[in-house]
Parts: sequence; structure tokens; C-alpha cells
Amino acid sequence: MTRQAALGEFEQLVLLAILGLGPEATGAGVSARLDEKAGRDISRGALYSSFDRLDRKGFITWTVEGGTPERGGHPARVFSLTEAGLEALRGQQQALRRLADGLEEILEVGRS
Amino acid sequence: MDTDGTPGTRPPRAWERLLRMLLPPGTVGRSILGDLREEHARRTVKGAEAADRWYRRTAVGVAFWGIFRRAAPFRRPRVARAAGAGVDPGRGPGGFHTAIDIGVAALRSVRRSPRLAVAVAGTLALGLGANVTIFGIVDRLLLSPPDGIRDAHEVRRILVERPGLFSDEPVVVDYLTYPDYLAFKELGTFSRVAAYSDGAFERTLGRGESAMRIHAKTASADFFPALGVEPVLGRLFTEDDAAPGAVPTVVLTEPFWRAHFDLDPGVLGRALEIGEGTYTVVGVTPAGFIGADLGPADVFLNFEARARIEIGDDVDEWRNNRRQWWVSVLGRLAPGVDAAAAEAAANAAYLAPRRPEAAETDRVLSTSLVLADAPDAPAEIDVTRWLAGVSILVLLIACANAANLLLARSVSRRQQLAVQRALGLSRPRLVVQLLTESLLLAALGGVAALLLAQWLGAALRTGLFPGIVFGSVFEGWRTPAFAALAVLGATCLAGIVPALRSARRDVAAAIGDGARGATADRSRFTHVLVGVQAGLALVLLVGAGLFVQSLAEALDVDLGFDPEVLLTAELEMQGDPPAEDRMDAYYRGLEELRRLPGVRAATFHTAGPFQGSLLPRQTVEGWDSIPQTAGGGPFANPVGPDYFETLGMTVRRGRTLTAADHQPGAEPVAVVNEEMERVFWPESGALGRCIHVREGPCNRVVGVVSNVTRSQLIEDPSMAYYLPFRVEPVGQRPWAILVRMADADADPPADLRAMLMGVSPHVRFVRVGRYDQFLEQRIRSWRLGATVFTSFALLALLVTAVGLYSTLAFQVAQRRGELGIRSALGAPSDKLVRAVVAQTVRALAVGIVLGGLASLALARGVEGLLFQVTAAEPRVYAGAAATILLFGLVAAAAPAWRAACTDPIKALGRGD
Repeated sequence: MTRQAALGEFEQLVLLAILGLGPEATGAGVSARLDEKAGRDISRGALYSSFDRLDRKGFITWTVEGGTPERGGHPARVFSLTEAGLEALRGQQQALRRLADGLEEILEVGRS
Repeated sequence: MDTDGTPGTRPPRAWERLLRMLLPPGTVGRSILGDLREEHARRTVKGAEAADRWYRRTAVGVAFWGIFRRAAPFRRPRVARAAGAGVDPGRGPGGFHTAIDIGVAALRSVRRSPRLAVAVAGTLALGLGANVTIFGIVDRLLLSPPDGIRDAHEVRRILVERPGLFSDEPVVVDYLTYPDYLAFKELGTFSRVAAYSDGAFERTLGRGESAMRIHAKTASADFFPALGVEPVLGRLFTEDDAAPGAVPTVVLTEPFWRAHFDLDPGVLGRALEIGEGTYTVVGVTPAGFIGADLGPADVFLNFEARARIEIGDDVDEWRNNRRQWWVSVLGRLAPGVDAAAAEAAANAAYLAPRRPEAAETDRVLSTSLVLADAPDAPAEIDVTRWLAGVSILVLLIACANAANLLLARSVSRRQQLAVQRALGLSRPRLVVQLLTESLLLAALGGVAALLLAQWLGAALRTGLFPGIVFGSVFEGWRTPAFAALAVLGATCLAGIVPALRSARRDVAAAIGDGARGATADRSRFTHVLVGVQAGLALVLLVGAGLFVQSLAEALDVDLGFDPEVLLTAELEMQGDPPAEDRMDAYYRGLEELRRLPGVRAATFHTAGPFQGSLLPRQTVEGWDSIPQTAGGGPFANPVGPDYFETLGMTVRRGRTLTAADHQPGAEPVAVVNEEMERVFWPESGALGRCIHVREGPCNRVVGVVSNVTRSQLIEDPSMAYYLPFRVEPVGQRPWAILVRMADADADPPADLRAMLMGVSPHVRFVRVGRYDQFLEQRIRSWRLGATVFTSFALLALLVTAVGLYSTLAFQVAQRRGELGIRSALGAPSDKLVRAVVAQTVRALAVGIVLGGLASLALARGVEGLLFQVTAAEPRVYAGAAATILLFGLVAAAAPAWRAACTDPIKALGRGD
């Protein structure tokens, strides 16, 4: 059951960040990881909008964790991918790989 | 545990509080706050300042996101798994949250139906715009004193009520004698008393080619302090400027200084040639200040200096003269003194030097600086009062229209609203929600109205009130406050019924029914609104018709001559040249004019229609004294050659004045008008009779001409006689050259001014105009009424027609099911059309009848403002009714036709 809903470029990055962070996938964490790994300094408004959109499409879900002192007692949402989200991401990545096949040298896609 | 973290690592408190208010309540919002805190703590490592800056920047973006997210539709419920202590189930919506929710929901709703929003806001903008424009005019003329005056309510104009010149009816005049002014200055009831000129006279600045006309008012030393005005450059007048032998001084207004001297401070000390004298510039008044009246002002001349220059240097001549009335006086009340006490004191001072009998006929009064309080307030003031009422009518029509549109819309929102009700949105909250939408639309309309009033209103004001300086509608608080009030009023009027009706909808029926369903009572209300609009529009149309007819009558009056084909050219002389040089200039001017192609005739006159009259002492053959007639006279008219031909007057008997009569040494002759002949020599006729002017010789009557109006549009005929111009014995100066062009519509010849300026070195300035400007002054109030009523009436018709069209279109769409059934059952199409049209016509007819009755009642009140028109002119009423019916039928035509063309299958199949 592959979801045919489109994945925007930015949404892809967000999903990848969530996936990579595991249990630390809070809003702050995702933002930091995007900045660090993709060199993207994004506006919070755009980020939270993306979370909403991905939630609406059914690609992510979240749990609520209790507040910590660093957060001033405020709770945290910890995001994770749903099955559908994982499917969509896989499908996107495969499409990219298929299209990029044979163009590795030009694109300088490394494995590191 | 220290949940606040170490001091210095907390984000800016105010911003966090703000975010807390704006973000969605519950876990989502709070987790975002937590995210930002966490990030802030991390950034503090690099510096607290940078971290705070980042927080503020980010907070703004997040806040906007949070606001718009609140308006998002339902979310799928989340399952929250608590981990650890301190899970907050989320706060419920508080008051501020609710207000924002309502506001955002209103915005969303408006964005969802842009066409309706434009229609409603546009309709209200027109209605509100009309009101704000008229309010601006009403405020300026009826409510406010001129701008720039400190505590204007403490300043009073001093007037005198005394017997009139031509009759014993008392008149109120706003000029006194100079000794009276000096006496008032001594009173303790006024802290300052000033002499000034009410209104500005145009005087010539400079000479020759660069000469221009400016508006010069005069003011004594106490004038500016009395009004609380400080200079923005230099100084204002002092008592020393009034002393004999002092240098004449002038104060500029800021706009004049800006326009002609580029705000150059070096203007101080410059000598300007104004009128007959040279004045030195000593200072500049602030922007926005134009004096104590609403006429335009370029400069203020020192009062005494001007009087010395233009009236005479003999100090006794005017300082002690109790016979000449020429000084306007105003005064600022002393602290704690009220107007009545000040008037009483002034009255005592006025009567003291006069004969005891004066106490019975004369009385000193005072009024405020508001134009409407002035004794010689123009007739436009009365018309303006009526216009205020008219503009309210237009607003009512616009509100009725908006209400109809909103009602129509509410039908298609029934489902949405019903679902919201079912989910627990309380009825009051729903009503507030709907009213907020109306408020939003009304507010948009209000903003557009303010802009409309500023731009289009400016055109209206300068076109209809050319002699009055209006400020911007955005200056001061009154007009925007009025606009806000009108917006609230419009919201209530237009929005309350649709809001209440929508909230009343029976929930189950609405959801199950879809948008179809009985709308009988709603449609009746719609028709009532249409009828109301039609009635109000009729009142406006009738008003327009009455004023238009007045205007037509006024333009149609037979004045005895045709002012529209006459040009006037005033020659302003430098200084006071001797009489021969002056007359030389005039005669040479006439010669040159006659040579120009396109000029049919030219002459000059000393007095004339709408230009004042001369009444020297005279004796008429066969009469011991002059009989009194209603029209007065006989008025003397020394005229130049070709006078009658230039004005187009007909000679009834005898001959006109010829060129020979104008030669020096010719036998003195005269031409009388028919009225004079009728009064003095009804049987024997006027020819051959003698008229003696003062102690002069016999002027033998050689001709009789037709009557010409003297000073009013409608007046009793006055007696008049015409003499070839001589310096003696009547001793007047020519007032202007009159030119009759061969082609009435031709523009004045381009070089007319230059040519006339060249006829004599004494000529300093030539002012060319059309004679009918004097007529225009007199018919201005009817033109004003006709223009504004007609524009408002057309506006109202347009709004009503558009509203009727959209309402009917919507109704037809709604009733498509019913119409489809009827059509399927074989009802002929024209019956369907008739059904739609009949209801409309019925509503319109009721509205017209009621509106007609209202018009009759109101027209009686306005009758005094009309000209030769009664309140019940049948043509006007019939025409108005026919126009409304026509507009209504045209508006109904398209929907009706669509109703007739209803395809039953489509109509029934859609099922919405």
C-alpha cells in the first residue's frame, strides 16, 4: 500500500532528520540536525508547518514527554515516522537512486 | 529542582508570555515553547545577547504560524502517553484566545467568499463614504471654527443689530466704526480685542508681467494674540506697526511662504508691493492658520497701515469718524467672563456716545467663529444641513443592501453553521462570530470610505464651495471618530438580523435538508428590505428632481441681458492717476478691443447688474420728490459707448446713446428704462424730459430701454437711467470693461490681457473673467443641492439595483428545485418569469408609495430652499417613481430570464 501523496523536498529532509534522531526527535532537535547536516537554517514557522502537514498526511506521529528543567517544565513532542511515512520515504529515495543511476560521477555522490 | 534554569539563561520574559498567548493551547503549543527554551539554552553558550536576539526573531515567525494555525480545521485527536512527571493536559481556551479565534475565523470566512466580501464592503464603502464626505463638510461649516486657533470657543465676533439701509427692518452687521473698536479695547470683559477684515480681498502683488492676485486679509496687532497664534518665522504685528509714520508691515501665511519664497528665511525684511502700497515682511504664521474666517489667505496686512494707504492718511479722518462703518471686531473673552456679560459690557460702551434713541434700535451681539453662526452665512449652509440628512439615507440604503447580501449568504452556510452548533459552539458565540464578520467588512468599507472622502470629497468641496478652505479629513479627530461610529452603526444595522437568523436555524433540519428548504419568511424579509431601499431611493430622487428644477428655473430667468456672452476686464491702475489718464486708458482699450476679430462690441460701466448701484441725489422733471417704489431707484448708470449693444438691451422708443453723445462738450442726454418711464411719466412718455443729477444741468431723455435686473434673480423692477460717462458730476470710476464676443462659446482672446495691459503705463494689472460668475454666486446653493442630491440618488439607485440583482439571482438559484418542478409540470416559462417579477414589483411599489409620502412631508421643509418650485411638483414625483421601477425591472430581468430557462432535469438532479 504505497501512499501516492507527494513528498516535498523539505518534507523529505524533515523525515530523514526525524529518522536519524530516534528518541531525540523533538522540534529543537530536528532543527539542529537540519542545520548541522543539511546546512539549512530554517524558520520555526516553516518547520512546525511541516510537522502539521506530515501529520495530516499520516507520515509522522508523536508522543508527549514530560518537561525537563532545560525546557522550563514544558512538555516535549517526540516525533517518529509511521509505517506510511517510512514507505513514502523509501519510495522517494528509490526513485532518486534510479534516476541518479549512472550519473554518480557528475553528481559526486559518495558513500560517506 | 530549579525549573527556571540558571539566571541569565531564560529567554526574554515578555516574548515568552506573548508566545504563550498566541500559540495554540494544549500540548502542541507548550511543546513548542519548550523547544524554543531548549534551543535558547543551547545558544546561550555562545552569548546571552545573541541567544535573546535569536529568540525574539524566532518568536515572531512562530507567533504568526500559531495564529494561522488556530484557524485550521479539526485535527485528528492525538494519543498522549505520559512519561515522567508534569504532563500538562493543556489549558482550555481563555478569553484572549477566544477573541483571537473569533477574529481569525472571521478573516477565514471573509477570505472564503471574496465576492460577497467585496460586494458587502463595497456597498458599505459607498454609503459610509457619502456620509464621511458630508460630515467633513458639515463639520467645517456648521460645527468647527477655522483651524489653528487656540481655545476657539473663547473667541467671539462682535456684531451690531441696527436698522437697515433701505428699510427699517433691523439687520445684523459685522462691521463697526473705528471709535467703537477703540472703546471695546478698553473693556475688561475681553482680554484682547482685535480689528480685522472678514474674508479676504484680492489685491495685486507686484506689477507688470509678473503681477499676480493674492488673497490679503487685514489684522490689527491684537489679532494674532487673540487667536493664540505664534509665528513660525520672525514676529507678528505689534502696536508700533499701527503708529502714524510706521513702516507698513505684512505677515505671510506658511503656504504662501512655501509656494513663493521656497521657505527662505531671507524673506524677512523684503518689501512687497501689494495693492496700492508697499509692505515689509515681518513674519510668517503657522501652516493651517488662515485667520478668523474660512476664506483663503495668502498674507495679512497690518490693519492700520492698510487703512492709511487705501483710505487716507488723515488720522482724524477715520480714527474719530463715527459715520463710517468698516471695522470688523473680534475679542477673546477674559478668564471667567461669559459671552453674555461681555456683550452687555460692549453694548454699554457702544451706546454711551450715541443718542438715547439708539438704545431702542441698536444692540451689540456676539457669535462664535463657526461659519454657520455668522449673520451673512451663505445659503449653502442651509442646503448642507439637508445634505447631512440625505447622506444618512444613503447609508441606510447601503446597510439594507448589505443585510440582504449577508442574509443570502447565510443560507448557503446553513450546513456549516449547523455543524458548528452541533459540536457545541454556543449560540451567543455564533452570533458574535457572525457579527464580527460583519464588523470586519464594515471596517474595510470604513477605511475605503475615509480614502474616498478625502479624494473625491476634495473635488466635491472645491467644486461646490470654492471660497472655503477645508482641511484634510484626517486632520483632527472628529471625522475619523465619526467614521468609526458610522462603521459600528452599519455593522449593527446590516449584520444583526442575518446573524440572529443564522444562529436560529434548526440544527437537525439544516443538516438533513441541505440548502434547499422553505425560505418563505426569509424571502419576505428580503422583499421588505428591497421595498425600504426603493422608498429611500425615491426620497433622494425627489430631492434631486426638485433641486434640478430649481436650478433650471434659476438659469432660465430673464435678466434683461445675457451674462453668458459677456467677458469682463478690470483695469487696475497704479497709484491714483488723474482722471484724464485713467479715462484715456479705458477709451484706448475699447479702441483696441473693437479691432480684435471675434469681438462684437465693447464698453465699460461703473455699476451694473449684480455689481452695485449708484443712487446720487437727483431731481426729475415734473416731480417734487422721488416716489418710493418696491424696486427702488432711480439708479444712475454712467456708461461707456455701445453699452446697450454690448449688453443686448432693446431700445423701446427713441434712440440709444451714440458716439457723439460721449464727446466732451456734447449736449447732456440720458436714456431711461421702462420702469422709470412707467413711474414718472406714464401718460406723456419720457422722451424729452429732464433729469438733473445733483446740481448738474438738464440731461434730456432721448430713449427708453428694456428693464435689466439690478441685484437679485427675482426682484421688483427698479428705475434706472443711463448717462454717457463723464467724470463730473457723478464722479465715479469705471468698474470694468465689458466685451461681447461674436461667438458666445469662444474663449477670451489669448492676448487680451497683454493687449489691455499695454494701453497705458498706468495699468498695473488686468483681470479677465466672465460675467456669469456673478450669476453663479447667486445660484450656487441650487447647483449644490442639485449636484449632491443627484449624485447620491444615482448612487442609491445603483446600490439598490445591484443588491436587487444579486438577491434575486441567489433566490432563483435557491429555488431552482421548485422552479424545475413547475417547469417539468408544464408551467409556461413566462409564468415563471412573471412570478419572479411580480414579487419584485410589489415590493418596489410599496416602497415607492411609502417613499413618496415621506418625500412630500420632507419636501415641505425644504421648500424655502427651492427656487420657484413647490414641494409637490407632479412631474418630479412621477419621474422618480418611473426611474426606480425601471432600474428595478432591469435588475430583475436577468435572474427572471434565468428562472424562465430553468432546465427541470438539471434543477432536480443537482439536489442541492
